[in-house]
Amino acid sequence: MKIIKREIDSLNVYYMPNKKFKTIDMAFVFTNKFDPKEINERNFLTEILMETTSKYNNQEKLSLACDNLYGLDKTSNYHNVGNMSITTFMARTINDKFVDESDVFSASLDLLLEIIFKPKLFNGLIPKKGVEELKEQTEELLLSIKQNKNAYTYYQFMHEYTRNNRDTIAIFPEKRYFDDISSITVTNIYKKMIEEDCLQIFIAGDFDHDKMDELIKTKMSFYKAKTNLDYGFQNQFISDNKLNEVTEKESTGQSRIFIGYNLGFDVTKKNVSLMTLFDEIFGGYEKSKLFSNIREKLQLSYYVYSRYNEDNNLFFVNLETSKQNLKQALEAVEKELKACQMGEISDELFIQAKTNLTKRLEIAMDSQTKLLLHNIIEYLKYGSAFDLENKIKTIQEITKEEIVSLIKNITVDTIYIYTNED
Amino acid sequence: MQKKEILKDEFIFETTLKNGLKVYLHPKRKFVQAFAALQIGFGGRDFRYLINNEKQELPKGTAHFLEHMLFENNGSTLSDFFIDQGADINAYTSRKLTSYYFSTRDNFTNLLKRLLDNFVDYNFSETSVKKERKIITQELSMNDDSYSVKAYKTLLKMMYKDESIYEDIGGSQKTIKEITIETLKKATTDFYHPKNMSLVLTGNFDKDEVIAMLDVHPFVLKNWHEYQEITHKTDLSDKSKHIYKREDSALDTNIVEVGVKIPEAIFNDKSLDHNIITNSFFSMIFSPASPLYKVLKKKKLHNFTFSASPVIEDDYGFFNISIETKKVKLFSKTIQELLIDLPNMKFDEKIFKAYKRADIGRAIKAFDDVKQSHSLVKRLINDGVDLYTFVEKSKNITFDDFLVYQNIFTKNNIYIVEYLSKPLNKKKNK
Repeated sequence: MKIIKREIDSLNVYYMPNKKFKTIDMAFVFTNKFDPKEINERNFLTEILMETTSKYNNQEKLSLACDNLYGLDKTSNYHNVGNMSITTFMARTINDKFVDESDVFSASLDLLLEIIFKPKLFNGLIPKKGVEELKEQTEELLLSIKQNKNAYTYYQFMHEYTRNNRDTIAIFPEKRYFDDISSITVTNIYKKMIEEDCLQIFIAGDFDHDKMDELIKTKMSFYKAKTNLDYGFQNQFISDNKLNEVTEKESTGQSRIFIGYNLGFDVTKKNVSLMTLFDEIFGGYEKSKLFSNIREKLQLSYYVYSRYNEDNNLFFVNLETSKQNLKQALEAVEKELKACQMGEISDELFIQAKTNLTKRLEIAMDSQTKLLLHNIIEYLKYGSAFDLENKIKTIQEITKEEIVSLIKNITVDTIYIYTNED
Repeated sequence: MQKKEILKDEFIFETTLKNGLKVYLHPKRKFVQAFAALQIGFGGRDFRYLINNEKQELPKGTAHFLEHMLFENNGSTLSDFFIDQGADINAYTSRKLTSYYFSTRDNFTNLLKRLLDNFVDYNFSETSVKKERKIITQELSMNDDSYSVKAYKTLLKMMYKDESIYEDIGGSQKTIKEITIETLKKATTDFYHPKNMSLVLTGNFDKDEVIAMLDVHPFVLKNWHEYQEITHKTDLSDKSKHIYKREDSALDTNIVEVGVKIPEAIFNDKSLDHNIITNSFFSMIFSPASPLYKVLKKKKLHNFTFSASPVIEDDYGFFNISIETKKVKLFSKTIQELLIDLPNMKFDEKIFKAYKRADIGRAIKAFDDVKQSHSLVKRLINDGVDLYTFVEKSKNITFDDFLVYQNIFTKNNIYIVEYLSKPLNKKKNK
């Protein structure tokens, strides 16, 4: 899919044309330098702005407005990629061609702009009531996470795993600053997002580009575009090189284990491709090292998998086992990693993992929203479009030696075990 | 083969093969992926059933056990072939069916052929039975400490007498020990017959190639035994206890589960399309535009964990509302009052009109995604909804269609389960 870049009154706008889908996806993406003090407010904004606006001043009115636009799907998200803070507002609307109407897209764009740029304010501030309600709900959510034992163990594990990276990896809620949240702090971060963040717009679907240029020019005339801030994109996991092992004992059924690793290499486009392939080999599918040995051969766990998070260079393994098998399971995971580091990866597994990754990339073509998100991240990180063919070529050219060389320095950083009382 | 339009530019080809298997083909050639699902009318409820009015029994969890065993049929591992071809294969068992499904980018017809190869003859080894029993034991214990699952199960148990409604689909560690090769043979004979199956195909595949393969496949050509229709008797009689409370120190927050039973007489009224109307009705009454939602919000009784959905099965139906909240008493009291007051509540016609537009949008969007459209078509087939009229019927729902449901919200039909937390000292070692 080709990408068309437009500069409309200094605002960077990207079109991803295609005739495959019946919808149009649009994303307004705000970026700035990551600041851990903003994690709570930025997350709150993605909730509060989506609930009311100046014109639709209660949820009932905004919900009706969305329903009238054939159920406009609106989503928002805040996260960080290395030292870049990304706040995204997206909407997915039915293409006018499929409902025989002429202004569904235009009205959907108006509504998204209203949500982002015209929030409901009280005395110039994001209303206190909404902020306090959200604080309360977040506290309730933290309690409810405990009901889902695996989600709870993951949450606890991530806090331990990223203990030396508090200022570079966003985990919401950021407890250090939670009590300080107020309508004033939320309003200040909102103003910063609008006035200082760099905004880029991405639109995917079947539409006339010149008409879209005009539409954006007219509707965004109030906005003064900022140039992209150059703050040196980086993401490096910091480890104190000491094994951090935590066991939480509670009355529970199965024992949950998370193992987090220090990868010990720089994040480059090439290393990310190598690590993504290794992740697939190690614990990505039913014939991976972990699945075939720990579930199928040793029958220690119903599920076991690994995950690589390239945004912050994190890598972990998760499994669930009975208390008496804990030690054996941990040893088995360690054994499999060591075997890979010694180059014990069969040709069959290696080729299959490449095929799986290639397939996964290709099937992204079946979702306009996924394609849009791939492109957004690629543009923000590397300033280029999501090049499917090149990505597949890179994967196909990877050698086993390159993988072994990359993973040789991987060490365990954190083990989090949630298990039964003695 | 019949070609019928389900939505603008979306066609389904429907046919019944010589062996009685119903096939639904929904080609979407612009997409990369294709999905296939072979569904068998054999689920968690089928531990007690009738054939020619004769009672039959199987250990609880047999359908789910058999689902696992089918991956080890005739001495070969089914998933190996699919993984080697870069396809994803999996299966699940619900209360009323078992579904074997795969998705792929290439070789669709060949993969479908291999899937059907697995359903011609059944031959399981003792070793595989033992291995799968161990794996299933682990699977069953995964939910042992989930209080949300426990609370929901308690609600089902409060509302219904019939075990087939509230028993775990996978059975228990005790019942799966009773499953033998003989049990599995009986299950395949009774249930794994093409006339008790359906095949749903969606995405990028060549329909003519698929039909040509199906016509000569041993699964179709085999001389199948005569299919004996399976029936069930479900006890839907009312239970007297409507509120259940339990305190537990292992809980960190409180869970409330609310159920509103659709009375048998209304549920069995064939003139009502429950599967079409209840979703719209229930989504609308709990949508942010509704007066009921406003009250819950105002009293701070609505949070991220709140959920409300209808549960419509072949033989019973109810509305389910759940939340994790600090304000258990207030929530239970308020929701009960609001539900009982529902017939008097004023729903603005504009909410209804907007909701219907949103419904049309949702249907269009579902067909914009090959996986979602596959799921939607399967759901409609399994729910017995007419594929070719459901969009029109949804469009034609009137406000009056909802009235029958508004009147079921009486004290007699409402059941509430409260799981309450008690403080406990936690240990953490570093």
